Amino acid sequence: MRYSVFTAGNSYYGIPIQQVQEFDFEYKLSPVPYADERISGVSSLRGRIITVIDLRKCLGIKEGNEPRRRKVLVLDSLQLCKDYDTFDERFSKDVLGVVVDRIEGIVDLDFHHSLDIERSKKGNFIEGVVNHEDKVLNLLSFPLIIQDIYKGP
Amino acid sequence: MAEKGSGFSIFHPVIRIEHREFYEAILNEISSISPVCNQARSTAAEISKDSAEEELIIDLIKKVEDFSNELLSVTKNLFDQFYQTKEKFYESMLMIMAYNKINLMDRNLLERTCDVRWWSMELAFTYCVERYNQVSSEARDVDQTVMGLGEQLKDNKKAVESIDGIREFLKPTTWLKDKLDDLEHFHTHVEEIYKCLKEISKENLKSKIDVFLRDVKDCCNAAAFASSRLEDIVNSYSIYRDLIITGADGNVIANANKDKRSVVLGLKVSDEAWYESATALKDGNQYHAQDVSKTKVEDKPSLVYSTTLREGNSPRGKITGVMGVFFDFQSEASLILDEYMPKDKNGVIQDDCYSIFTNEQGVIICSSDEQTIPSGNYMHLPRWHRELGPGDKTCSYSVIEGRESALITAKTDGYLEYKGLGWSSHVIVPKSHIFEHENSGFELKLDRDEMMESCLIPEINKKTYERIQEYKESIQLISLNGIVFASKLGKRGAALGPIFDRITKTGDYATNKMEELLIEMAEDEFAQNAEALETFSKQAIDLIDRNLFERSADIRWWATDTIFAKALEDHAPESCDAACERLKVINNSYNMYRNLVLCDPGGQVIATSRTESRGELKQLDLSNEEWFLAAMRTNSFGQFGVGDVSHSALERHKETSLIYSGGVRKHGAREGEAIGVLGLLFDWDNEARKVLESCLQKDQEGKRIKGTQAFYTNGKGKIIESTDRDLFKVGIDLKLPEEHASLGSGTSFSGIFEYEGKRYLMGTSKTKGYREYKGLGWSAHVIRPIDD
Repeated sequence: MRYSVFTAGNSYYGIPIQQVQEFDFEYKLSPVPYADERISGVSSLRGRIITVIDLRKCLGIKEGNEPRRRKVLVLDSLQLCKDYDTFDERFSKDVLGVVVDRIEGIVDLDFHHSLDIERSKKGNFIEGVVNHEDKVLNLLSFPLIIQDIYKGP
Repeated sequence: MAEKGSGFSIFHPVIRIEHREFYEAILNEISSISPVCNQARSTAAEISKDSAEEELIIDLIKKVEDFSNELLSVTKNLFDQFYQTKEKFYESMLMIMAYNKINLMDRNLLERTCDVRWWSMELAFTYCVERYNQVSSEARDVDQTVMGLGEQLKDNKKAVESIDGIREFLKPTTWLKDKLDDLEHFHTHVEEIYKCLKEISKENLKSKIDVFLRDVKDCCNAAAFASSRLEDIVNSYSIYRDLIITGADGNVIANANKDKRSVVLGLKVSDEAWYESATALKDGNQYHAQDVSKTKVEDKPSLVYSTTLREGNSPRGKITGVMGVFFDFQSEASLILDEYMPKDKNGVIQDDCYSIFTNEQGVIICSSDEQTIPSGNYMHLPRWHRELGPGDKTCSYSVIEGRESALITAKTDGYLEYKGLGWSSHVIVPKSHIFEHENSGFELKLDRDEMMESCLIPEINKKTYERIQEYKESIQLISLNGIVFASKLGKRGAALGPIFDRITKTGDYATNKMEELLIEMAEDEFAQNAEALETFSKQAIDLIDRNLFERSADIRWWATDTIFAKALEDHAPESCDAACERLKVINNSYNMYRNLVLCDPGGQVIATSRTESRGELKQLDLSNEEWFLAAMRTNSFGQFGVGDVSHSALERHKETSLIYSGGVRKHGAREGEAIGVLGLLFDWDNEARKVLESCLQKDQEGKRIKGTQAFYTNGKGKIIESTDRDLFKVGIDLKLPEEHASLGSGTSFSGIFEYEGKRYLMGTSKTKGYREYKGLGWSAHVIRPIDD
């Protein structure tokens, strides 16, 4: 399986490549009044409204310097609905972006040949931890994060 | 490059081979993107289901091509920038170097003008000249009388012989030189003549001869004493080859150089330019500087300072004689020419590098390589190098001794009231030297980003660095999107994957290479600045060493003055007043001293040049001060004492004083126990700060770089003066990095220095002294901040 790998703080995170629609530089965002603090704001992406959440805030990461220009990962909502039965259908029409520190690239992870996989439920949003080239990759579940945000406090 | 403003060419011979390879590698990588993109276009047409899909892919490809073209042009600019900045930096460093050399010379020559004016007032010299003028007029009188007799006695062969003998003796060359050994001979001749004369003529001649004989002895003694005083001066100030005193008739009466004395004494120099110009001076306080030229006195071309001796030592008095000071120009100039030049590991100036002084006419007066570019010839210079105004500098490139070289000229603007002689200083360095990758061993303990963010790095490089990182990220994003897009096409997209992989790799390679180049440029920038700071610190320590050398010469010479010895011997009020008067006169000519004091062996001040504070100073007990004790320990005239910069009771209100001291001996003798101490209070803080300020780092427009500071530390690492007394307080112990603190004599080092939470690049040079002045173990430091 191919995963796209990105960072926030000093940690590495990955999601399957199918769940990504595209990568971009961080946009200029308009803030959303009274929204959850994890929502950075909204912007327009090719005529559609995109809501952008901040991965650092979602995971409560404070360590490490933010790079000069952060990146946005635009999620493929349709694919997320396909991958997660629990993911609310109404999100499939939204465009969702995630601000991350850096995008590391795309890697091939072969779980069957790797014994490094460890399905410890670490936090609510991490599905597993994988060793890849001396790096520890946290496999994220965005549907869990998004639902957590919209569920409200 | 060669012509200002011309663009970059990778084929220019000065461009380093590694850089050419570097450039070619980037070029290859980036041009390989083009076929990949073309392949991607045809793949897109093959695999796309509809035109929208195809357009999306083609759009991505187009972006890749745009970025790679921009990368290429940025690379070109980067090299251009690299070489031009380096060239500019070196040019400005070389110009500063050329100017410093002429400035060092001017500072030295200024001291010489003080010396010559002051020495001409020495009583021994004026006395000897007056005696000489008297005797020579008496000798002329005798000569005329004897000549008249010659006519009368022309038939008497013996008498004619005697007359010739007498006339021969009357020439100053004879009686001055032979020190009257020939006197017996003279008497025989005189007796012979007397025999032939009638009583009246005999009495007439006899009275004249008696007067002459009485005075000639006196005059010879005075001349011998004058010569010995001149010797004292030359021994105190080792930078003179000879000092000469002539009578009003232009004959040399006394000189300092023993070896030359038999040739020089009695020599008629009245037709020499230095002599003639001196006699044209309006008063005794003026001097004339004769540019390097041939004289009768020396075999080598000489640089002569001359001034007049006046009747009664009054500035407007009648001219009684001339003093000529023959400065050891060649030895001083070659020392200066040798300084700051690129050296090989044996300390010899590297081949094809030259340093030269020319006079106003453009004739070489001293050269660092007399065999290749000898003195006495015209220097081949472009016209604008010959037409510089005072203090101007210029640089151009031409082929010198077969190598394309940078030729830098700086013209004198004099120093203080000394206007200079219109000389120029030239430095020649092969062009390839400028671009050589010097592995100076300079090591930075900074990481990449810290270095790139430093304010030392030119804004333009920082921008390029940011831009390159942006390109790198842009290309990365485009390829990632390509890969994501391809994966969404499923099997159809498989062909696109490798293409975008390749684009990512190429983009990474090219941008990484360029980052490397920028880092190299930044390291160079640091190394060059470090080198510049080292040079400035060396200049700062050299200037102060040369200044202090002069002070050590002053003290040695002044301590031999008999007026001081007399005051110490008899303690009589009038002797002390005379000593005060003497100190006052000296202090007026040499205003780098705050005060001059004469102390008795008990450490009590008995005379001072600041007579208004005489009473107050008398109360002090100085017998425990370092400078005083050092001078009391001296037992010969070559020695002097000096205390490190510290507080002295002599200056209650000053934090620090620097005092030079010399032992005064009985009757001003050269050897023997000290009977008192002469102390010179050098105006240390002002003079030192002036020097330090002149050594701060300046930008290419000559403006002081923000935050640059300079300071001196003594052998114990204590600050003794600084350009910012709030930041670098005088008297505090500074924790210097080990490499800076443990420098050997005459060596320099540069590195990072952290002080009060700020980081600086610092150049340090340790004193090596100057000539016989050994230095006091001090170091000079020049710093500039690394961060804003």
